[in-house]
Amino acid sequence: MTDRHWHEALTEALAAVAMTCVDGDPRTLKRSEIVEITGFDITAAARCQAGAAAPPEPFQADLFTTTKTLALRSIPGLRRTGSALDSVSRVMREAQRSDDGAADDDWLRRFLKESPIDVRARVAARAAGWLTRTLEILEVSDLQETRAWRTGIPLQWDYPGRGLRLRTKIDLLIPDPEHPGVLLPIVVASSGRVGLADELGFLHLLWKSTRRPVPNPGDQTQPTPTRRQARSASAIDLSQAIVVDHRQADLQRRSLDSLAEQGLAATVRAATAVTERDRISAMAIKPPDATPHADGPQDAPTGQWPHPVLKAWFPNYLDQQASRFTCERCLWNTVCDTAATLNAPSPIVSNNSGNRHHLAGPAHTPDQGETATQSITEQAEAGGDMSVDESPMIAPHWALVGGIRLSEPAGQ
Amino acid sequence: MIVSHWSPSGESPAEGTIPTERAAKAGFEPTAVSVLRPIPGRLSVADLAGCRPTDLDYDPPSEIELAELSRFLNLGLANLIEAWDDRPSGPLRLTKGRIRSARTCPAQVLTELTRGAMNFQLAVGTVCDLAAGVLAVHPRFSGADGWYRSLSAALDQEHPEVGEFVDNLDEMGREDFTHKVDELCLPLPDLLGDLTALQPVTHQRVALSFDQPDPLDVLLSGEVDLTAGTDVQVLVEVKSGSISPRVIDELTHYGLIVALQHHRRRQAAGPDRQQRTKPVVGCALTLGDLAVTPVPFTIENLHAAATRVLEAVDILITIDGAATQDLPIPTTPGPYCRWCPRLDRCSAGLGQVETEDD
Repeated sequence: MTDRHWHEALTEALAAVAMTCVDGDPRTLKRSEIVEITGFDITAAARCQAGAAAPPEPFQADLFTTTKTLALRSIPGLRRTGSALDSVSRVMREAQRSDDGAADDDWLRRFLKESPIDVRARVAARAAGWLTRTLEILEVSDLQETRAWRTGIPLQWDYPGRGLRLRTKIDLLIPDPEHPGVLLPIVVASSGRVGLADELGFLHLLWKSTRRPVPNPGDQTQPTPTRRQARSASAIDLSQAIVVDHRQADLQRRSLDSLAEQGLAATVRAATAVTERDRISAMAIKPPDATPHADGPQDAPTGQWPHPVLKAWFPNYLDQQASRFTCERCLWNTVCDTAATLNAPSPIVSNNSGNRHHLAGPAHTPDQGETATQSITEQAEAGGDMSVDESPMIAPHWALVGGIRLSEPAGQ
Repeated sequence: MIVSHWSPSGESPAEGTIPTERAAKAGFEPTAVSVLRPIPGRLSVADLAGCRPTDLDYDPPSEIELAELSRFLNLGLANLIEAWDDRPSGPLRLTKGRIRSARTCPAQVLTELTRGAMNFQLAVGTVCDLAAGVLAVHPRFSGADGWYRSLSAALDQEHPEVGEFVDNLDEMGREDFTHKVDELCLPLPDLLGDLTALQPVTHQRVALSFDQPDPLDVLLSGEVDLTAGTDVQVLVEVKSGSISPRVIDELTHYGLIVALQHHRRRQAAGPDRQQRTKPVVGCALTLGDLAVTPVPFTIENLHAAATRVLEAVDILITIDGAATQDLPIPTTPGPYCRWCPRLDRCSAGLGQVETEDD
């Protein structure tokens, strides 16, 4: 298919979703009026559509959210400083020094300026580790090689005549060792990660759809690429990407051409979930007043408070309401009512054991790569809380041990 | 000759094993454990990370040996997994903690599913671990106001459960806690040395997947506290206690993952393209005995780690079989029962404790 065909395919596939969005030219609409589908939404929807449909958590800069951004901003300094840690330190020092007001508009600088020294040291360690690992896996022995690296290339596509926008960023582009003069995208991710193919497909689709403005004189909605984009575009090849897996110390060259169809389906899925999320947020349903009770029905959910699956599905909603309930059953009922109001599938589903329940929610998908046992083990390794999500839908079946009896000691 | 302090002690396995017919069929003997004994000496992590491959006084595994080890592990896992009926769709994940639990007592694996309370030792260890991570990139970081207090903002973000635990201590408990942390962290800068020029990476997650018979059937994984080194790669495990066979086993588990990762990359690169990978060495930084102990990843040690993996898989499959058929799970009570979080639910463990108390 040509690039224009992809633009048309995207327009057609998103028509139903676009009809629920504000009518108007995205360039003249307020940002709050535009529904934006980002790479994060694509990944979230691939993991669990319920997750993508959950109310969005407001972005909060912390140790975890700053790592990659700081590492990417440190790349231009690699050649001069000669080491990942020095380059990261340099960016941090500059952030500390800046008092020209620029820091106020820059969330990372603001975070670095406001954080105490121990947090800054941890941020530096994580960012330098990310960079060091990436350089190691890409086998960069001479940091002068990073001269041609580019970071943060934005891609954006607006639905013609509607407040619906797709956008993402290519984090890192490096010269293709096999084809001089061509830049390839680098995606740092676990190679078996759920949603990776969707994410790559989305990237490719967006590239195909926005690389050249579609010649349509009557349609002024397609953004003209910036000069920087145009300059970058001449050398970028998004028919393939290099996936760098920090954990497995591995890199794989992935062909993206074959993932465009998948990217299209993923985009529609994510757009549907996000517009549904906005609809839920707009409803602002109030739960009934609940009276704590001790003798709830036998099938009342047990375990942590609030139940982690509830928390995952309705994080903001629960945070708002948690203080009102002292009984999980009451909250549970409320969520069921909410789900019924939203015309969602019944949230209570019995599993085989008959005494545990979970939210079916909007198509929750167990994430094979991130099971409950994985997370607790990693937490345990990190010396952290070993609490476990007891929801059977995300635990591997061999971990369902609630009813297991321990025998007498072997040999006795 | 930095790694010459070590010699195999020939000690018996630290923990019991449960040989089964499946193990025999899978082609491994479930006992081989190589325990190494340290000879105390003054050494910093930076000394070790700054050494050259020629400084290592042991033979790193050859490509042929690693290929053989990889085949051994692949075949063993494939045999075990193939005989596992009704297995889950996700990968079976093997961490050092799970391997240790499985080999200690199958019932201990179940403790993963109970809410683990933070305790004094775990909280102290977490702070020390974080302190090491901070010092690796900022050697002049000072815990002059008390290490716990100096790290409290980072702890709040990375390990909020530690703060909750400390807040719930009474005044004397808090004092004990901060005193213990200060006592252990005080020598950390000297034991670590200056790592800033040695490419430190903190809390590096490592993983190795095995795709036989199906993709991602088994995943070995872990999180290395600290790695550093320009010519050799040192994997550092920070412990608030003393050196023990358990620490060595954990390090060797990481060594197995990283050594096989490097092997796979070299294999994938092919003979025409030289793959640059560094020799890998383990290093236990134990604050309880103020020791930096190098752990060589010889082929014998890696083979022992691979055997432990196969044993653990065997035991986990046994547990799964029992769980799905609603059968009891065997227990192997021992001195560790006293600290098992499931003690109150385990008659065998309670019996063991009662016997010891008598």
